[in-house]
Amino acid sequence: MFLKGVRKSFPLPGGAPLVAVNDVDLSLDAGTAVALTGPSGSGKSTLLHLIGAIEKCDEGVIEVAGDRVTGLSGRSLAAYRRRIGFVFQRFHLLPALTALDNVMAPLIPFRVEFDKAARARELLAMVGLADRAAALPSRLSGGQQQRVAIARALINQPVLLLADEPTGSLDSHTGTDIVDLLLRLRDEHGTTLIIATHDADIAARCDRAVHMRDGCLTSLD
Amino acid sequence: MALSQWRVRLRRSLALLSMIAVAVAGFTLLTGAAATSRLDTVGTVAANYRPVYDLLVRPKDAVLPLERQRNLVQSGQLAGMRGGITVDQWREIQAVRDVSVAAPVAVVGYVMRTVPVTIDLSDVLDPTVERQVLRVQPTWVTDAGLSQVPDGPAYLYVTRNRLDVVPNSELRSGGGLPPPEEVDADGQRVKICPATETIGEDDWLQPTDLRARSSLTCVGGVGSTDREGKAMRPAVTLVWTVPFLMAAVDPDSEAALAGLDRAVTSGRYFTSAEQPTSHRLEGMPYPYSMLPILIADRPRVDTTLDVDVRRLDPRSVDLVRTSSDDQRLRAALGGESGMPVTQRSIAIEKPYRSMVDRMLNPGELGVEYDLATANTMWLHTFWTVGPANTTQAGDGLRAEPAPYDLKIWGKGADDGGTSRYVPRELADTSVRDGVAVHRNLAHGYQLKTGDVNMPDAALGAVGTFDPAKVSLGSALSAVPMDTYFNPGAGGADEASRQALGGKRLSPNANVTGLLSQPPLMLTTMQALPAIFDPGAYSTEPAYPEYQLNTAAPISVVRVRLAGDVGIDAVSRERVRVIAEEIARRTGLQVDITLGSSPTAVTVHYPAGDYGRPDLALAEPWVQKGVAAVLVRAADRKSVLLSILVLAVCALAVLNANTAAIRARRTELGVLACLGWHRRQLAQLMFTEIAGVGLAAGIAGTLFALAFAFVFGLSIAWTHTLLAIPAAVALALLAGGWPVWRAARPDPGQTIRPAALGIAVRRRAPRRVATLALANLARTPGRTLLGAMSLTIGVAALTMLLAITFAFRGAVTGTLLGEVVTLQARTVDHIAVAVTIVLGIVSVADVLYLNISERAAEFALFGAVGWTDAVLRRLVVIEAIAVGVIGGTLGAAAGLGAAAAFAGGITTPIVWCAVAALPTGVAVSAVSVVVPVAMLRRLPTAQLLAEG
Repeated sequence: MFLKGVRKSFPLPGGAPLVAVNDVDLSLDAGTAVALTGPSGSGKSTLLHLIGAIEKCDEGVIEVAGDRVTGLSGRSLAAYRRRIGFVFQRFHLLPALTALDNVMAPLIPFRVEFDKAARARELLAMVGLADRAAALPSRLSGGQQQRVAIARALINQPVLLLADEPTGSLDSHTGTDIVDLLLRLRDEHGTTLIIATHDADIAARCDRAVHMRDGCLTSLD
Repeated sequence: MALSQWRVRLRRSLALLSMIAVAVAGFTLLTGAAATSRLDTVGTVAANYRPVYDLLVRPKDAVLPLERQRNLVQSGQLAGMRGGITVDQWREIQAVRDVSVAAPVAVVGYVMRTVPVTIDLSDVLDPTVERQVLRVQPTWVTDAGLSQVPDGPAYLYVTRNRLDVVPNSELRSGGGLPPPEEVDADGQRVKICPATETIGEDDWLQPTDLRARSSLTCVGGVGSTDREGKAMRPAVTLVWTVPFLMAAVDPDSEAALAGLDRAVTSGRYFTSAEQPTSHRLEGMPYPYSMLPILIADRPRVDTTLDVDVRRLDPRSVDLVRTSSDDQRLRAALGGESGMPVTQRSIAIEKPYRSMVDRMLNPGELGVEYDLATANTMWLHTFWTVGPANTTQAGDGLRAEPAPYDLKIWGKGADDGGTSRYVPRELADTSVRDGVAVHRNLAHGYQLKTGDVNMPDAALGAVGTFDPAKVSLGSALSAVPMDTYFNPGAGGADEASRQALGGKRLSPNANVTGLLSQPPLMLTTMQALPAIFDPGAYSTEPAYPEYQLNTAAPISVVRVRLAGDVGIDAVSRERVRVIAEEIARRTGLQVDITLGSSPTAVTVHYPAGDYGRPDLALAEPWVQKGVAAVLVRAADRKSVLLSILVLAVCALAVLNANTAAIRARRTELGVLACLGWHRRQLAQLMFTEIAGVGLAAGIAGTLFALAFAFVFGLSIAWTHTLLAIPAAVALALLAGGWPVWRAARPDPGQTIRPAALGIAVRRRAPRRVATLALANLARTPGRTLLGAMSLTIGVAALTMLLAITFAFRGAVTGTLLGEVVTLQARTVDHIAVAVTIVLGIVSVADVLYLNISERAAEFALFGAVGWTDAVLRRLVVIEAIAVGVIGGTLGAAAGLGAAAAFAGGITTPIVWCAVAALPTGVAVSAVSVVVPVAMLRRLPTAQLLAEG
């Protein structure tokens, strides 16, 4: 993965725009686990959104696994998003769907060559929720919901997994389990992992830690 | 606090305000327009409520089954009626309380009068030849040009030599007419133009006998004079015979009913007391009665005379100069070929006018073809015909051919002279039974040798009248006025309309055809005995059914009631009571024509023998009781429209209110957690809703006024002010349920995520469509509310369509119904538009709220790679699902309600429902435009970050 001169700002009513990401350069090898640290408002989430093509950057270049993300639009962009996985702090499970259906949700509109349900079950088993496949999110604990969200992020066998404060809504014990899970998956699948966190312990467990402040990368470990 | 809420939730407040404003403006406009439309309808109906006469009294056997079945009154039957009402019954009707006018019509029959048409051919003669023969071939063109009836040819022999004829003054009786002599250049005299010989009276005048209907005229050069001593002209005279339907009326009643006295154009009107005057002619052993008559000053027959003139081969000259047998000569000339020299088309108006002048001033003009020799129009003979021979066919009638012996026309027109041909059109197809001839008996006087043999009845014209000046009443409530007017009949189907070239078929001279001319000759009731007295006339055939109805000569009595007769129920009841009393007193058929309107009844008319094809004709009959039906329908429709619009508007506002309050459920929960109790929460929300309602009311008023101004709707401005209290009331009423729900004392339930309460479904949504349906099921109340809005909209649409059909169907094809329906159409269209708009807004609101509340889900779908097209599809499927639910329920509800309104389910109503269902789906599909646009603007990253 490769970022060069990436910049993103948001207009503010009656004032100068807020620069959320400012001239960020970053290069990662495949299979690396990177922690993106920094205080609230430092630009971690925005940078993940830019990498995940949820936001468009104002300037700069982002390349992921050979795709120049900044040059994509429309269907290509949607296709790119299917090649990465996203884990959110608030899980964002669909309350109307079971755990199994939530995992399959990204594939609902698409025809694929494999058995969606079988793969979803595999993934649920992988995250330790094989027996909760039929449960609605409202019947799952926070940690279980995040596991379902991780399984969902993996359904497309992503080359890059982006996790935005994945433990932010969890207690420390559950949070640790989730980080263990993410790192194990990285180990098993060789997926590049970027975790945005302000937790130093989590950062310490990653291959690299990148610190952000006021939208800029301040240190690369 | 409420103020700050409006500000903070500006978009939602504006959405709610817009919804209420549109709803109340729509309600105001529609109820106002519906009320105006109702008033217009009632006003139009009231203005056209009263026809020329209120009741039509006929003999019971004159009523066709079709009239009873469909509540109709036929028209054009007068000519075929043989009386049936006695003079005493007429007097009885006059004596009924509240009867102002009782105007009788007694049909006498057809009197034939001839109109000479002289065709001058001097301009087509060949000046280079000494002698020439021209053949003038007349063709009667009738039935809107469809029938071309050829008549016997007229031959004209013209010589430059002098022609000597024996003048009338030197003719000796009993010797026959000596032929003219042509004086050749060498002084030789050649007898030409042998006199016509009678070959049998009956055969001679049959309308089919073209040979007998031909003539030969010989004209000489300079110095030649005719038998009256006038210089000869190269001209032929053709005979145009007009059948006059003669009827007796009561002059005073007719003046009061139709203003006949004001329609007199020359001469004078007659009085009710006017009886025939008695006269005596020298040599006549008995007196004769002169009946006063008024004659129509214009013909009422659709006929044009086309003539084709050819110059015959020169051999024809020799034929004329050598033949001594008139019959053989004309037969031989008929076989000769000729060169066309001219074609002419002649209208009847001018010759008719000339004939009427002679009837008004007998003897003064001294034209040969008039019976001017006695200065009297003797009534030797007249004919009667029966009713059209019809059978019921579908919704209408089929006229069947009714052949009869043409010899009935035997002695021909006028006094039966040798050239008094009956109309040639009489040879065409007949659809009337009972053609009879009535000949004067002179009351059985035995003539002695030398007595003058003339009828004891004659016609004395006192004046002319213009039928166009007779009052026929409003066209929308026109009743049969066969006495003066036959509007003819248009084509009832496309083939017939095309055949007629868009024209109407009108009566012609074939009195046995379908359409009858109105009486062109009117006499007084007092004069009737001169004709109807036993012994006055004998009838052939001699069977009883052909005889004149001397005991009951009146065919119809038209009754006008005294005073104003309104459209209200009391007036209608009063008319019914009077009608019943007349029926009870006389035993006659009484039809209430008050509140009726013309309608078309299809009558199939068989093809004629001269080119007219089979025609389906739309005869203008009268539908009874139209006014009452229209007013009832207008009342129902007005009420129905108001209820419908109110329901749609209330539902739309309820939906908007629910959405507005639902959007604040978390905030309300927080307030509840902070200690606010239910009443305070309700008070807060009601204050906000009332404020929005007030603003919406003002906006709605302005909108309604602007809309009414732009589209020219007649709505009182005071009515539009109703929008303000209506908006506040509507907002508060529609807010009651959602406020009650939102202000419930369980704050935890209020602030808990909405999705918690949903049930586990049996089948997982693994396709976009099933996911869309699952999404709708997540908020069943809202989905139902949106669907209900659509249900009412579609139901309204179904009902309005059905009402329109039923409204029209109730008064099928009547003129008044058409006018009223046309008047009411604007408000119908607005109603449909408003219901559709409200339906769109409601469904759009449901979708908008769904997207708003599930914005994070949509953001997630985008983040995991769903394309925009898939997201749009998800929303569209949700919309269509709402549309199918709402459309199906609406079509079913509309079908039921419309059926209740129309008194049963009819095919048009089912079609309306079928048409309204896809409309609901289409409306839903249209409603996705705004929500889908909103999808693009979702702050995906923010939503995903916030959760």
